[in-house]
Amino acid sequence: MKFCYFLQTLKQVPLGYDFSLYTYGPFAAAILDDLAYTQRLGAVEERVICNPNGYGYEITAGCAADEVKGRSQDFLTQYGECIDWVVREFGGLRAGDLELASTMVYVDQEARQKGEAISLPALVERVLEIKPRFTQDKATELAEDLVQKQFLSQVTGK
Amino acid sequence: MNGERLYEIRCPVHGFIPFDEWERDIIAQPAFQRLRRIRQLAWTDQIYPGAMHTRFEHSLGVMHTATLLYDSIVRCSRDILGSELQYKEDGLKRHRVLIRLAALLHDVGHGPFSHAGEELMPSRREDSRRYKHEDYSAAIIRRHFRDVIDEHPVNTANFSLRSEDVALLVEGSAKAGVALFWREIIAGHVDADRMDYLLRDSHHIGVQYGCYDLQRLIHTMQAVPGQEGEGLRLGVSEGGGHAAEALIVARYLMFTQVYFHKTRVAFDHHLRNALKEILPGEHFPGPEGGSLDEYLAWDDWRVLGLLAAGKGGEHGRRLAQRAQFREIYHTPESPLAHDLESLDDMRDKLGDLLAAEESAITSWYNLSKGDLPVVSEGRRIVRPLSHYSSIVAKIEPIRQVLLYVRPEDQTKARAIVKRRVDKAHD
Repeated sequence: MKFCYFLQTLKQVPLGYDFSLYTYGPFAAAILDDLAYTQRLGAVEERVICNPNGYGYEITAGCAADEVKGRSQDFLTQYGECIDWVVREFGGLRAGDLELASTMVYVDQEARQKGEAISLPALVERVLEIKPRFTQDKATELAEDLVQKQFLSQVTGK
Repeated sequence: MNGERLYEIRCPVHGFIPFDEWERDIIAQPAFQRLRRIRQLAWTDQIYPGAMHTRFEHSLGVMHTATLLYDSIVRCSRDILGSELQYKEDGLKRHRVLIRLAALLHDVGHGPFSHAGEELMPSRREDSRRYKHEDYSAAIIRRHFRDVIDEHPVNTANFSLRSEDVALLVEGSAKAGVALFWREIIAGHVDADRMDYLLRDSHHIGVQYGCYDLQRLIHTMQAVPGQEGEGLRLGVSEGGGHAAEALIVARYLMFTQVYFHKTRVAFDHHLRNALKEILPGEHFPGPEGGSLDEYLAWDDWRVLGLLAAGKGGEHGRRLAQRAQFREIYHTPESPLAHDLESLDDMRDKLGDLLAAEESAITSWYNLSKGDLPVVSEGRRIVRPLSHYSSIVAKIEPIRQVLLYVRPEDQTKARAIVKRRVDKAHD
């Protein structure tokens, strides 16, 4: 979900999803629908992984993965580098940090759509109101990293 | 409630819906009363004659259901709401009011015939995304409900809420802050909107497909902690798992039998195209500036008057004369590659006879695959609903495609389809 958000928002990959913001970050129900369909096509397999703290989902290539990828070759050729980028850039983050980072990008995008500039402390404050579980230091550190990588276009510095 | 005097209004779904004097004054606003002139289910009455209910009573129902949900979640999850979102008693009381108002006003931005006209909303300048009715709702709240919310004596004496707070929550803005958690009550996978319309639509249409145990579901909803720093979300206790399952099944049945009924879809198609003929620039006025008041002048009555006067071109005529396009071919609910090849072939065989094509993917009512967290006794274990329910695990969003021809071409088209289908079976 968050990878799709970054691909569409930061790399302008035309996925066509309409994201809304919730406390768990940007969300588009259509992504889950498309995932279910690719599972039906045999392109992926999804497994629920349960652990003492909750659960997650493991998504692996299905028996028809190569066939389905073959039908999308043009898209993959054009945007394969972007997909590699998002995995490289965000693949090492834990789920909670992905939520935090994607929420920061959403706040930045919202400011951009409204033609507003936003300072880094103001962005951090706005995000922490939604996700108060994170510390100021943690959020600021992540925001500075995103600014440095030019993922937050509206942030005007400290 | 918030003020001293309580009012109530009868509802075929909920019995009585109570509201206070502040909410009464909000309901009395012209922009809210306009919802009496917007049918909940567009032209569905052409198939199910009882489908004459409006967005007005649905909005009251959503307010009522959202309040019941809120109260239940606070009762079950007070400790988590305090520890995760720093809620104290005053904050909870204030946000209860906020959620009631957001639920009440979430649909004020609907255009004539509800979702049928949503494709005719203009695109935003900044990113070319099409406006949605929620964008209009937020704009209308800011402009037409500002005084009755911001200046009302009940509000100024007790809550100091702003119309801006309500608008931010309705549009899902990050500026809504901690209140964003409650957005799932109004616009989530299992939310007050769905809970109300499934029951309401079933009642008025006269079917049982949309029925489920509302009280049980509400009673078992709660806030569920995320893992590894993930955000809080809404879930259900294990005891409510079957009630949640029943709602998801209800969505599926209502979608296939009502919302994506082939004849209803045909009428939606004609309405959209008739509106294109009627609307200047082929789209509704936008939600900015003076255009918003122009938009609010559009409701079902105005469209029906124009159709009665012969406007709307060929599609307007078909609506007026019940000469709608006829479905001639459809794919399975979840078409695979060979089904899509057959669809391509059918399009090719029908050629110029093919008058319209509609896909379930674009339907607003389509069910989504999202799962719901289920919490075991003592909140020790959290698992997805699909872990407990094989029905939920298997239900998928519908991706059916319907092909239509003009009624005058139906005989010829049926022969083509029969030949193609017989050949496929040989």
